[in-house]
Amino acid sequence: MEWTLALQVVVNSLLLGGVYALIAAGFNLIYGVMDVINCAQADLMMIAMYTSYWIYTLYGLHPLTALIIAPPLLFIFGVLIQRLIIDRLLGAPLFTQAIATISLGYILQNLALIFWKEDYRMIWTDYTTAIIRVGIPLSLPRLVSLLSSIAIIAILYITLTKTDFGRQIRAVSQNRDAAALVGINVKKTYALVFGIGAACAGIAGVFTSTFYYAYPTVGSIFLLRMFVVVVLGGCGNLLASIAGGLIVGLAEGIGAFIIGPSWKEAIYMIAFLITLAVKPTGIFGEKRI
Amino acid sequence: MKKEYKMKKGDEMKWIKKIGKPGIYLPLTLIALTTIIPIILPPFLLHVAIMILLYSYLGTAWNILGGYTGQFAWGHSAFFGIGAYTSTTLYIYHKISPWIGMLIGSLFAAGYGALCGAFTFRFGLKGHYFVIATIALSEIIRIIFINWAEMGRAWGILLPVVPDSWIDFQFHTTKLPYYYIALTMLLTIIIIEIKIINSKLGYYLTAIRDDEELSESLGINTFKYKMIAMIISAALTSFGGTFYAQYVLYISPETVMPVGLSTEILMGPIIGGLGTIMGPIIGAIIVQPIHEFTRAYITTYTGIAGLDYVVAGTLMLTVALLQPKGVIQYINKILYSKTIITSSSKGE
Repeated sequence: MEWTLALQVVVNSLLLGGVYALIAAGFNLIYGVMDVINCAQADLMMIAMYTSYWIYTLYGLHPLTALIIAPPLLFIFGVLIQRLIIDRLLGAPLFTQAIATISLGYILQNLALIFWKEDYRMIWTDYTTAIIRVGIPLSLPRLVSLLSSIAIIAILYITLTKTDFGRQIRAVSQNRDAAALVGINVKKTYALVFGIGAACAGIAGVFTSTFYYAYPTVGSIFLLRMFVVVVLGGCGNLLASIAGGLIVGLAEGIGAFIIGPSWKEAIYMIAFLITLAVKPTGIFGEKRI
Repeated sequence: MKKEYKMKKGDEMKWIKKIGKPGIYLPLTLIALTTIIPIILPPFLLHVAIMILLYSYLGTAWNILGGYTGQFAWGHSAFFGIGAYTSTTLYIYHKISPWIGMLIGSLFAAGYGALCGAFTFRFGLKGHYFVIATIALSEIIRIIFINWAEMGRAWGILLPVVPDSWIDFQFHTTKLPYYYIALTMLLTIIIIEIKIINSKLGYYLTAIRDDEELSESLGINTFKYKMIAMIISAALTSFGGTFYAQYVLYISPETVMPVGLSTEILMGPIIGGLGTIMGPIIGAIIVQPIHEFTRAYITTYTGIAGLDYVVAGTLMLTVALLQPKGVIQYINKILYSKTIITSSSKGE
């Protein structure tokens, strides 16, 4: 009995960790290519969660149909953010970018508050409450989220390493000026990368909405975890953020189980600090995309 | 032997010339104005002025570590909170005056600062790793306080209201004493800051900011000096925490220790100009009124919750976009018609 419970805790933590990895993927891509900390990433995710919620509530569609709408929407939004805001701040100190994106996050959160109030909104359908049993009960939406997070990170990785477009991005990331010299349109690449990063937040948001409440400041729950996941795996290292996500999920889940839920945030942060102490550039090391 | 100062013939002109320089007369006029003006201010504007002073103070304390030493700590809310909680609990449980509690709180904050510094600098965390590690360290403190029964857990502590008294650090009839205390704190920290940046310590710190490896190779003990900067910054920040606790008379982990507070502390120096004396002050003069006025007026008049933050966020974004290297660059351009290089623009 005790063992199945423990196993269940571990598996559930891993499922949650998979979602963290997905959330962090877009953030990591933007960071790895442009050296920009996008603090509004989690708020972009919040918008996608609401999109999914409204699609379900207003039209009665399956929440995952939002996957057709939210990512393209956020892609356009991301390109706009890059063109209007980030582009002007590329040479600025690290924290100026952070403050600009934090302000953007504030604006998004409070627009959501104005339009949709601070109610906690949850999608209740057969899908979101579905449980499959593989020896232990597993939440279906979380399992789907974990699998798609691995799939999406893999697609991103393959695109970056195997396609021409990916090579362009990596060239820009490694040496901006040299990339411009060989004829790559750096500005366009940056805009596309930011758009893709935002679209990743869109995908993550839609999946998250199937098992988590949507409310205006939901981003603050995920933003810090996003930082920790990315830094834990290694900044700019896409595949490593899967490991980072799983570690954060595990530390949080097991910690909450053994010590108590009110300590869970402290526990994953202590795990994070210990990892940094052992390896100051993340578990798998920092690298350019 | 005593040196006697005699005025020579040309000296009057020299003095007039000196006073005529904006570097001399601007601070003098500012000090005079800041001492007199609050007397005629209505209560709300006085509150805004106090907030400007407090955040100028906090920004300057952060600036010693972030601006001059180049260590972008994002966890100063922990030191602020430790200051607030120490003085408050000492006052409530042991009837110790907040003034003494303030000093004890600064010791605790310095201790925690030393711990943070020992951890992050010992393991050579730099750039984003350092930033996130400081967030994590401050969040851990916040979670400890949320779970700490004697500290009132997440509900926080309400300070007992007593009649106006300097010993108890509480004033209700007028906020003027708070204003002058905050002003004194700000002036003191500016003097400390000037002393530091004009001393050997200050040169070491800026050397570390500009090139850590190089300064290490020149024989500067970078670990030691980064620690010193962290401890000074932490201790000074905690005084601000005590001031806040006595001013608002209510503290909780969500008001004195969130990451948002750390952001607000470092917003001033970033918006104003990193690694400059006036930077945090200019930043606070821009940021705090935006926050206070939008909070007080927009939602009251329109009845739409959240609109104030939308406006404040838009204004902050605009300032950051217009002056990415700090407003001080723009002001210097007007005053001296030349740019002063502040912090390295690399951002690390």
